[in-house]
Amino acid sequence: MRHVKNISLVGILIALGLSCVEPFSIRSISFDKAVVVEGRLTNEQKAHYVKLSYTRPIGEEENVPLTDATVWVEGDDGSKIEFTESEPGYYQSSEGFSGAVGTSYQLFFTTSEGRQYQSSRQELLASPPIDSIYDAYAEKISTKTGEVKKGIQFFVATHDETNTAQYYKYAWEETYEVHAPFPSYFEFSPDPDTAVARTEDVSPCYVSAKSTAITLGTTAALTESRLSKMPVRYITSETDHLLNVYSILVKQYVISAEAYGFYREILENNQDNSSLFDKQLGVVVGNIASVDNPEETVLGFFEVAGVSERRAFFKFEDLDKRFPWPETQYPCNGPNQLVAISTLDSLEYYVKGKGYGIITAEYCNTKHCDNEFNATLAPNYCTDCRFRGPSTKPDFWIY
Amino acid sequence: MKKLLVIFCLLVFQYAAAQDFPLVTISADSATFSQVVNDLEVQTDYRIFYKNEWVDSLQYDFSVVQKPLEKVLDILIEGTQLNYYIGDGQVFITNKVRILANPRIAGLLENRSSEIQTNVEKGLVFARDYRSENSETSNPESQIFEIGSRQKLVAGGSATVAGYVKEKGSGEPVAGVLVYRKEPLVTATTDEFGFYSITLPVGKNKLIYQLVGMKPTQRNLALFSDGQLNVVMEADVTALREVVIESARGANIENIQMGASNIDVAEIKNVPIVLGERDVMKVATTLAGIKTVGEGAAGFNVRGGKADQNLITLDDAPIYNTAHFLGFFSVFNSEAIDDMQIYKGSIPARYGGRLSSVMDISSRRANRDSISGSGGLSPITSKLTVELPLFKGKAGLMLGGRTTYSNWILKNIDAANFHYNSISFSDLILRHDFDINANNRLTLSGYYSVDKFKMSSDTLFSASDFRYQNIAASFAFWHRFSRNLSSKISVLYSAYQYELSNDGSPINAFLQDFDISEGTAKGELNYSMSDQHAFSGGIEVKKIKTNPGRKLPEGEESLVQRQEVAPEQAVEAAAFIADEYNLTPDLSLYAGVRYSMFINYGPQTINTYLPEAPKNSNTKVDSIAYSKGEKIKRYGGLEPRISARFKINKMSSVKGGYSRTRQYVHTLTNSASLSPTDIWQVSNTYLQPQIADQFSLGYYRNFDNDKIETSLEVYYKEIQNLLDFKVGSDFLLNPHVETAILQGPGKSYGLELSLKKSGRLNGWINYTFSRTFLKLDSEYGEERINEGAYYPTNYDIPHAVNLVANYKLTHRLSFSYNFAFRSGRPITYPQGVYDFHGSLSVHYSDRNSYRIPHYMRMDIGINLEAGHKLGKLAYSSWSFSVYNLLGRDNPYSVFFNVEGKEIKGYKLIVFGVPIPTITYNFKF
Repeated sequence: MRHVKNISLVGILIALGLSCVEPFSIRSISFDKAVVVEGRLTNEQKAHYVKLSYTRPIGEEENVPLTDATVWVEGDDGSKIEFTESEPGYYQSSEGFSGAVGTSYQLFFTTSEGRQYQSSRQELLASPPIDSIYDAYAEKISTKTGEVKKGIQFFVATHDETNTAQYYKYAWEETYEVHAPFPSYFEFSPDPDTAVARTEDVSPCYVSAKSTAITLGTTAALTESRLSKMPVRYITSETDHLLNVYSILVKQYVISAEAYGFYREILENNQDNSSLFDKQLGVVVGNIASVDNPEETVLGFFEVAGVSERRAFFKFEDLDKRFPWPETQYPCNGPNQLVAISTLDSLEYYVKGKGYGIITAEYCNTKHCDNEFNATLAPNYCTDCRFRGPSTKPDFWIY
Repeated sequence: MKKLLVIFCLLVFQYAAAQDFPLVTISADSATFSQVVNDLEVQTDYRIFYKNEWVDSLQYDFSVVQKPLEKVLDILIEGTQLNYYIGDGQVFITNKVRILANPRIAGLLENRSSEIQTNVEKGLVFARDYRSENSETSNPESQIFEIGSRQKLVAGGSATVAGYVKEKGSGEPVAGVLVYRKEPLVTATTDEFGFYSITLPVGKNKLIYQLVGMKPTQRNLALFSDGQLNVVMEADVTALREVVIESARGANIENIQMGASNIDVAEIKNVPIVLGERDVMKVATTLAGIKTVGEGAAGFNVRGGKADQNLITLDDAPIYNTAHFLGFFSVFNSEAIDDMQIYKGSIPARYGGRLSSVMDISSRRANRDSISGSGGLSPITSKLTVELPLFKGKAGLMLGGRTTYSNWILKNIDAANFHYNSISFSDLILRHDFDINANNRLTLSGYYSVDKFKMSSDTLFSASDFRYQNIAASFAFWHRFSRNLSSKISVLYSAYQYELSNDGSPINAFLQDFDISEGTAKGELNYSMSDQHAFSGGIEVKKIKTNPGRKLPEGEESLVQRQEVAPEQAVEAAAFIADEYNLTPDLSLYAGVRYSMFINYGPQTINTYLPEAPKNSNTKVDSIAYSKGEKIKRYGGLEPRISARFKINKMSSVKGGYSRTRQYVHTLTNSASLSPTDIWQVSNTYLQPQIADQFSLGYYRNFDNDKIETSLEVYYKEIQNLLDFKVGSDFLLNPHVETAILQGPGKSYGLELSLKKSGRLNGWINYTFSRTFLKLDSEYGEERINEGAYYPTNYDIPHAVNLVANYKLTHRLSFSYNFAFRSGRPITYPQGVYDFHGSLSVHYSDRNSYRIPHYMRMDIGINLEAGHKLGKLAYSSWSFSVYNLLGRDNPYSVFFNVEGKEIKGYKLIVFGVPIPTITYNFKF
C-alpha cells in the first residue's frame, strides 16, 4: 500500500521538462563500522549457520567478514550449540542439530578482540503445515515500460489451529523441466571422425533456482491465524519456466513479531526511493546488542523459526487459459538454424568450431550414395539443455 | 463606481433632508432630466444647474408626493455618474465630481448653533469661520468637519466620533482600517461593517485612516460633542486594487498583534511567480518565518512548525489541501481572493485547532453595483472572475473559476512515454453577499477544487487515476445590535477526499479512497466598551468524520481484496473570550483565553496493547468495541493568548506575547512536505493532541516617515506530543496505525529580521534563523530515535533569506526581482552497506543527521499595463517572468537506490532550468 506514495510524478515532471533526476555523488561520511549478524536456527536437522560481517563504506564491493569469533547458541532448555567457522565469517553448527519447538534460543558471540554480543531470546514456534500451493492468473505492470505483463501467481494457503503462528516468512526452491527443441542423440567422435549415439540424455533438463527476496506474511490483523492467499512466486510468460512441468518447494518459517518487523523495515529501506514524497529511512535495529556498550549499533537479526515445507507440481496445460504460451529465451525456429551437412570434415568444424550439436546422423548406403555421411545439426542450445540444468531427474520428480 | 459616492452622500445627507428641504410632488412618465428639473424649479425656489451633455440620455419614470427635494435629486442621479450639491437656493449637478465644500455634514448630526464659544481650547477652528477659504474644493481632506453640537461642548472634555469607512467605487465596508490621531495617539480599527468609534479630546483634531492597498486619507475635525463621520477610502489608484506593495504605514508600530502579516492580493502583482500564476500562498512563503522544504513542496512550515499545523481557511472554512499540482500552485485563484491574514506569533483567541499559524483568507466581496470581472491567460491556466450585482446596492454574486489546459501542453511536448500521463486541475469559488441593511448582512460562499492525475510508471500500478478534491462552504450572518455590539453567526463545512483507482488490467482494478469532513457552527460577539476596551467572545462546535481508507475491488473480474479501516468521528468544541485593552496611548494589552475540548466517539474498535511494552502488532492483546455515540476519549484544556504592545515613540515599539495552541487532528505522513496521499487522523486513545506554547518578543522601528518598516522578532516554542514515525512505517489501510506513530516533545526557536519599503522602489527583504527539534525517547528500541536525543525534524531549515523587489519605472511599466535562499533540509544519509540475506542492504545514519544542498533561486519579472483610459471597456496587463533565472539545480530530494551490488545516489531536481512565462490579464 505504501506504493501509493511512490506515484511517479517524477515521470510527469520530467515529461514536462521541469524536473530531472541526476546522479548524486554519495560522499562517504563519517563511516562507522558496524557489526552485521545474519543467522537462522530452525527445527530442521541440518547444519545451521551464523554469518558475521562488518558494514563497509559505500562503493566497496567486498564483504568484510568478522573472523575468528567464538559463536554459540544457548537454549533455555540448557542446551548449548557451538558454531565453528567453516569459511571466513561463516559459522556452522554440527550437521545433526535441530532446534526444539517451544524452546527459546539466544545467540552469543565474542570477537577475537574480546567484544561480546548477544541476541534477544527467540522462541522456536512450530510452523503449521502448508495446506496448499495453488496458482492463479495475474497481470502485473512493468515499472519500466508500463506495459501489462501476463503471468501466473503462486499462492500458499496455511492455517494454524492453535492460533499461535502469526508471522510468516517464505522461501522457495523451484525446479522446472526444459526441453531442447532438437535433442542431440549423437555426439562427435574424433577417432575416427564420426558421430556416435549418445549414452546419456541431453533433454529434458531440470533447472533449479532459489528465492533471494524476503517474502513476509502475517495474520496479525486477522481474527484467525489463516493465510488463504499468500503470494510467494510470480512468473511471467516471458520466461519458459512454465512451459513444461514446474515444481516449487515452499518453505514456511514461523518467525517472531520482532523478526517480522525487522524484515519489513529492511524491505522498506532497500526499496526504490525515487519519489517526490520520501519515506522515513533509518537504522534498522535488529535483536543483537553489544554486551559492553548498549549504545553500539548492531545490525542484522538472529532468526529462530519453525519450518514446514510443501512441494507442488504444475503443468502448462493445467494453468489458466489466459496465460499465453511462454516465450523461450533460446528460440530455435529461426532460419538457418538447422544445418544439413554431408562430409565428416565439416562435422568437426561445426561441432568443435561453431558449437553445434548433432541431431541426426546416418550413412547413406543406397544405389544413389556410397556410404555417404549425412547429418543434421543445430546450435548447441537447441540440441542440448544441460547448459541450463542437469538432465538427471531429481529424486522428488514425480513425472 | 462613481455613483457609490452618492450612496455615501446619501448616508450623510439623509437626516436633514426631511427638515431643511422643500417638499415637492413630481410625476414623471418617460420624462427627460430637464423636464423633471423644470418641475422642481417651479415648485421650489431652487435653481438647478447642469450640463445638457451629461443628462440628455436620461429618462425617468417615477412619482413622488410631498417628498423633500433631495429625494427627487437622489432619484435623478441614481444609476448615473452624477452628483449634486445643494447650496444656498441652488442645486449644482456635477458629473463625476463631488462637491463637499460646505461643512454642513456636522450640522446634520446635531442642531447647529451660531453662537461662538469663546472659552474653547486654543487652536479650535470653526469651520464656519473658514468657509470662504475652503469652499469650491471637492477634496474632503482639506475641509473641516464639524462634529457634534457646540452647545454641548465641554472645554477640556472628550467626545466620541463614530462612523463607517467605505470603499470608493464598490461601496464596500472597509474592515481593518486603522483610524488614529497623532499626539496624543489614539487609535481604533474598523470592524467587518467598516464601523469605527474613537474617543478624542474636543477641539481641533486630525484623524488619519490607513489600510494596506488603500490610499490613506485624513479628516480635519472640529469636535464639539459625540457625532458621526463617514469616510470613503479609495483603492490605491494606479490599478484598481491590484497594485500596491504599500502597507498600512505605521501599522506595524501600532498593531498589538505580533508575528502577523496581511497579504493583499494587490501585493502579489509584483512578485514574479512560476508558470504564470500569481499566488497568495507563494507570496506568503517569501515572508519571514514561512518556508517550504523544496521547489513546489505542498504545504509550508511556519516558525519551525509542521506542514499540518497551519490553519488555512477560506471564509472561515478550513481547506485541508492547499496545493494544486502537488504544490506548484495553490488552490486559491488569486483573482477571487481579497486578502489573507497570517498569524504566526500571537494567534488571537478566536482561532484554534492548529499549532503553528493561521492563514485566514477572504474571498472577494461581490460588487453590488455593476458588473465587473477579471481574467487571465497563461501557458498553463486560464481563469475568469465575474461579479454580478443581483439586487442593486444590496446583493451581489462573485464567481471565480480557474482551469488548466496543461494536458494540451503535455501532449505537445515531444517526450517519450508521455502519452500515459496527464495532469489537470481546476477550482471554483462562488460568493453571494447580501447587505440587508446597515446592521445586517449575510454571506454565502462555496469552494471546490479538484486535481486529477493519470500516471503510468509507478511502482505498482499502471494507468492509475488519482484525484483529490477540497470542498468548502460557509454561511455567515453579521448583525449589529448597537454602535458597540456586533455579532457574527456562521455555519461552515469542509471536506477533503482523494481517490486512487486503477483499471489498467481488469483483475487488478481497484478503488482506494480517503476522506475527512467537518461541519462547524460558530457564534461570535464583539463589544467595544469604550475606545479602551474591545471585547470579543464566542463559541464553536465542530463535528469531524474521517474515512481512514478503503480499498475496494472494481468490476467483476477484479481479484483485489477488499480492505477497510473503520470510519472515525469526533467533536471539537471551543469557547473563547478576549479583551483588547488600551491602558495608555502607548501601552496596549491583548488578553484572551480559549477553552477547547475534543471527544472522539464510537462506533469504533480500539486495539489494546500490553501496558509495559512497545506498541506493535505483537503486543496487541485485545480490542474494545465502542457503540455508536459512545465516548472513547476526551481531551481538552485552556489556551491562553496574551500579548502586549508598548510604544517607545512615534517610530518604534516593542511587543511581546505568549500563546498556547492545541491541535486534535494530525496528518500521517513520512515526508517533510504534505502529500495528497497523506491521511488526516483525529486524536484518539493513543494519539494525543499536540500542544504548543510560544513565547515571542519583537522590536519594530520605522524610518523615513514610515516608508521603511523594520522588525526583529524572536520566538521560542515548546511542543508536546509532536509526531514522528517509526522507520518504514505504513499508514495507508493500516488497521493499527497507532503502532506506527511516535510522539515526543519538540522545541523550536528562531529570529526573524525583516525590512519592508514602500515607494517607487518597493518590496521586502528578510532573514530567518530557525531551528526545530524533536525528541523520541523510550525504553524500547523501536520507539527510540537517535538514542533518545533531540534531533532536527525533517523540516528544520536554519537559514532563509528572501528578497522581493519591485521598481516602478513608469505608471505602466514595472520590474520585479525575487531572490530566495534556504538551507537544505535534513535527510537520513546512507553511511555504509552490507550483505544481508543475499542482497545489498544500506546502513543509514542517525535520523536527519545530514542535509541536502541548499536552495537558491532568482526570478525576474516585467509588468506592462495597458493605457488606463477612462471609459475603456477592459483594462489589461501583460506580465513576463523568468523563474529560476540562473537555472540552478536545486535538489528537491536526494535518494538512494540499491542497484544490484551497488548503491546509487540521485537528486531529484524540479525546475532545474529557467522557466519563462508570459501572462495576459484583463479586467472589465
